[in-house]
Amino acid sequence: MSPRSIEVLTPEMVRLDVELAEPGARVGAFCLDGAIIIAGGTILTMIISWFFNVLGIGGGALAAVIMMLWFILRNFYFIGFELGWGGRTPGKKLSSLRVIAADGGALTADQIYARNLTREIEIFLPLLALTAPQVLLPEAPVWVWVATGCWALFIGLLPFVGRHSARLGDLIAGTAVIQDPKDALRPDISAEDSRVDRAGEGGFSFTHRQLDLYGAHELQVLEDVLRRHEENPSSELLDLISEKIVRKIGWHQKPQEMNTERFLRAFYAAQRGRLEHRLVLGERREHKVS
Amino acid sequence: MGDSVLRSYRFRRERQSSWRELETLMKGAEANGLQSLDSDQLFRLPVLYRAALSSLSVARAISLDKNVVSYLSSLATQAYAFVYGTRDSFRSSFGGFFLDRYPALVWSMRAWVATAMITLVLGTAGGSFLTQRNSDYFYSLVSEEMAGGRSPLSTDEELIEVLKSPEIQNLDSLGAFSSFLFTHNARIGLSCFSIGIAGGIPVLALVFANGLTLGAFAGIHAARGLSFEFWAWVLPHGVTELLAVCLCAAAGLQLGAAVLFPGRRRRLDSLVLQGRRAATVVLGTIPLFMIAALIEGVFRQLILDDGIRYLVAALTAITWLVYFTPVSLNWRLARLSDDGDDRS
Repeated sequence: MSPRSIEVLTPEMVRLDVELAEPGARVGAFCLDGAIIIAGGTILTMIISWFFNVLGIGGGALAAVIMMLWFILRNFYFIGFELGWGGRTPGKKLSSLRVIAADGGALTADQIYARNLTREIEIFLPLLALTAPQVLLPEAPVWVWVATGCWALFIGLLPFVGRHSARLGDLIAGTAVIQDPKDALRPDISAEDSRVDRAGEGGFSFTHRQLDLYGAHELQVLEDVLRRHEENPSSELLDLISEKIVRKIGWHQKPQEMNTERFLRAFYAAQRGRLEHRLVLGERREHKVS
Repeated sequence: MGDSVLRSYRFRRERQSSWRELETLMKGAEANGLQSLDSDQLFRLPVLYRAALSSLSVARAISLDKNVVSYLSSLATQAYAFVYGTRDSFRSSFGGFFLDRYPALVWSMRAWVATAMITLVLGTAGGSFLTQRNSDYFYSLVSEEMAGGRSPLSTDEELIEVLKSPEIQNLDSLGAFSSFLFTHNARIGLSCFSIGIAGGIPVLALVFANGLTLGAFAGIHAARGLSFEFWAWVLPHGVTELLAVCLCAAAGLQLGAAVLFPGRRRRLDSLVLQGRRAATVVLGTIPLFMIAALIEGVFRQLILDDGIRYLVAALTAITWLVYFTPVSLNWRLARLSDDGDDRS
């Protein structure tokens, strides 16, 4: 489990390890959403200004309507999309991010309202406090403005310092933003070479003593190597690993005398069969015997 | 192949078609919306999701194929987000939140709301009493900026001028404008919430002080026999705004109670739990503050007749009374919020 992942327990009581979104990815998604909002808001502002001009109303009333418009737009854009698209806005969808309930329950509409309306306090108030503190706290002395500014900065930077890189809104609403997992199902390596303890096509046959030397960790490293070999073949690496294995288990052939890929596949299949067999019997071996 | 095939590979071969089916269904729904699935597919979806979860559990126990386990974990996470992510329509959830859940939540905190209201009324009465006894108190209770030129030395005409004159020019500058959204009382409300963590007493002090200020204003008007006109000026937006302040204060008190009396929970857990409820209450007051600001900024400038001002004040009062009490909720919801009260 990487440090950036959290465990959630689904309502079916199955544990899922989900990977939290990188702060950078969240900023990226937010910028995309922001750009869309600004573009839409600018167009609407122009239309409304033109409309008010035609009617001959201006000044405060126009400013009030436009300020309301931006408030509604920036809040309801996020709420609307996260509700309708299962926790994703266009920016999040493009960045493969998603909002889930951090406790593994169902994501409720209330949580979405809470996490988004908090943004108003999180981003808008700090900005106001930093740029124009006299508006927010008219009578306060300078040190109060400084304190407010620091507090505002802390709230704004929370996603970058916190352990779970959660926004204040996420903490209040009990939500987490996760990276959409995208692991594809690939062919089983053992599919063609899954005969255990028997002379297979390659003529490789391993004894229990030979197979008990390695653990699950080494098996999965071997899996990685073989899968990477499928994508971009590198026989030197296979030779190197074969040599190590040959020496460790005392194999009767030298790597040069055989097809190392077939050897490793056969060894992988036999090794997995052996370890899985022991797993069923309740013995889990993580690492090799040294 | 037969028996010699690995157990974990056999497991995978038997189940992978259902994993693929789930993948295809989700991909289709992502691309073309949930409506693109027919009723059979909709019925299959949760079944396939549970099958994937069970496959994941089995694979974790018996399979050492890393790819299969990570694939299943990924598939299960996606399906979980898909099945349990909201698919509420905007309208129904919005309606559900503001029509049912929000008033029910507030109703469940009614004891705190009442406490805040009583404190506010006591403060107002106190401020009014003090100012009428000795008008010098006005200066210590009301800051110069808030007074807006009014003081015990103002003439009757000056006081009436403020009560009856349109102040539209006030809305022109941007500074005045931000205060349109973040009015004095909205700030009081937010402070109430944030200092609630300190145990509740400061919240009551803040509400009481706010009442004193209001009372001081009422006092100088009462001294001239302008009470009727003064309350006509305050109440149309004041009912909504003061209610919102009381709701924020109630949220703050609830937080304070969570810290002081965590019950069987750990203090921090209790704070997080109540914090979520309290934050929801505070967030719901944003529309209230906006409505109050609209009444104050627009209606009060246009309507100068005292009778109509009282009528609007009464209408808002009745609206909120109906909205926040079980009169408008069905009995089931009301009982649900009663349960919530027992828990808290």
